[in-house]
Amino acid sequence: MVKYVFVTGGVVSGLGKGITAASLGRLLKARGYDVTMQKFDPYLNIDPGTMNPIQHGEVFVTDDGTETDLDLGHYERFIDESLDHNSNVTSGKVYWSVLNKERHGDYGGGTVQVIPHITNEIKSRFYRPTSENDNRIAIIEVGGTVGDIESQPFYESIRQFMQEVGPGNACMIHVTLIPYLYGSREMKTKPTQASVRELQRMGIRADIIVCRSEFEIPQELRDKIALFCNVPSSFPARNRTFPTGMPWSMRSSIRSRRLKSRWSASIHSCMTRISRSSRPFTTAASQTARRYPSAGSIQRKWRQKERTSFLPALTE
Amino acid sequence: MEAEGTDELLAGIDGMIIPGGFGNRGTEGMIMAANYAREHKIPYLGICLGMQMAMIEYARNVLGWHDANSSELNPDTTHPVIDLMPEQKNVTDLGGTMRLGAYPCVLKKGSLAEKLYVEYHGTESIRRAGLAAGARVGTAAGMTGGSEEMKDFESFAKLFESEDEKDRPVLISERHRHRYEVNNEYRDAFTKAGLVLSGTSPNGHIIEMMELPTSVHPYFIGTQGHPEFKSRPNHAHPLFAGLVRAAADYKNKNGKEN
Repeated sequence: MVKYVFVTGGVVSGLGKGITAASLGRLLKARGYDVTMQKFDPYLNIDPGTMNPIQHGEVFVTDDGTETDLDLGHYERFIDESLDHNSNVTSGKVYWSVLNKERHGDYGGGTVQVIPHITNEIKSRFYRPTSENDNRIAIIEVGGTVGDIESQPFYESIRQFMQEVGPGNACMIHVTLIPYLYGSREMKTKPTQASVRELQRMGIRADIIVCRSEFEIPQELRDKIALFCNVPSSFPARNRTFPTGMPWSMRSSIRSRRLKSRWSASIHSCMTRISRSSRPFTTAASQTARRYPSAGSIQRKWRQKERTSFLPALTE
Repeated sequence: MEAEGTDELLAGIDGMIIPGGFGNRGTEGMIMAANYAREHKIPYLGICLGMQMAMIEYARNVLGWHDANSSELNPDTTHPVIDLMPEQKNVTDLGGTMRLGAYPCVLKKGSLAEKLYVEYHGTESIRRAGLAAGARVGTAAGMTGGSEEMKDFESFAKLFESEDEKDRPVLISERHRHRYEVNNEYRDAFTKAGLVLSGTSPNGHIIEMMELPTSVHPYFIGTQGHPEFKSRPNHAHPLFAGLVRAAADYKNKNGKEN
């Protein structure tokens, strides 16, 4: 049973949701899960090959020759796996496919519209299990910011898809910004609240909120975000100069006592929800099926892994 | 650099990379920088356009063709040492039409490139990688009508006929994104002037890597592909690892200030 983690961004772009997604992939892989990643870009270019790198970053090329968004470079490097053309879907590719089908007559006289035709096309691009025993976690990032006009079909598709696979099989991570006002020495949660409200307007509830901030977010602010944004607790990531430091920073937040139970509550409730409902059938055939690790065994693996470093190349 | 000259701007560096790019903005400056690296024996890695810049610099200053250039940057040059690839000649659309993706490359025996790839990767994994890329290229060529390099796919298979593993050439695979290549008409001129063409496509048509002998320069290497796409935090790419090591050696040898 494939599990889905959707990663979206709000308030402004460039907050590091690609790095967050890639870091999560890295942490999950280190804990023994199979991970795959996809990026859905709402722009209409069919691929970034014709875009100036100043606009959207350097083009990344996969083994099979697809020109993709630079976030795929983060994914490949963090999870240490080679991706292919299925991992980068743009609005351009989606519309191209639908319009070609329309010209070919595949829609049988129907009126071609965003819902259901574009949304069905988008949903068909979400990772699907390749075999019966495929227990991957698919991390799917949506580019841009919630509220952009181009990304609305993507959010609607995600909403429908999360409904279809069920709450135990999908979760939503939302990355936002907590700006700091130097004059009044205050950090502001309102942009995060507004962004979450924008998500809710589309019928999507964020399970985990990752807040980018200049300084450490105090407990009262985290509680406030949790209260107003409907999450068990919010998970702050410390601002880091090097993106490859992200997995460390996420992992050390797990270690910090103040957050340990919160972290367990939020990401675990979501991951546990996902893992519990994936019990393989207890028949003789399940000898070949992978046993899905429980939350307890995950924590045991953490404590073992804490002694070994994830990124030896950086620490040597 | 084009305005002020290289000496002040590049003083004190231990290594240089010229990465890929498009268009002629800043290319004269890049050629000046490559010249500085070559003459001052500073470790140099040229990626895609960077390799082409180094070769143009070599053509101008060692071979003496003062207006040598790429036909991309100066269509009127009398010595187009870098030219459009044959299969690109009739291409008009810009989207998705470059030579894209993983392609195999055969390394010359005894070259610095071979030494680096073997040292950092181990031969078996590279040969396997190369074969996989070659297989994909074969199928793709079948679908698109075939490019020049796939017309003699047999030559690709022939490389592996030798029984003894040590005789077989080292085959690597790198990801590419380009339209322009080294002009084959100038191949002999370059090799006679001392530039080593250390990597070619399996059928020998496309020059993929070039270098200077280590007796002449400690680390001067260029590749038409993009090694940065395959370099990972856990496995640094051989060309980058080699550059960093050479730069560290350069810094230690020249001790003092930097």
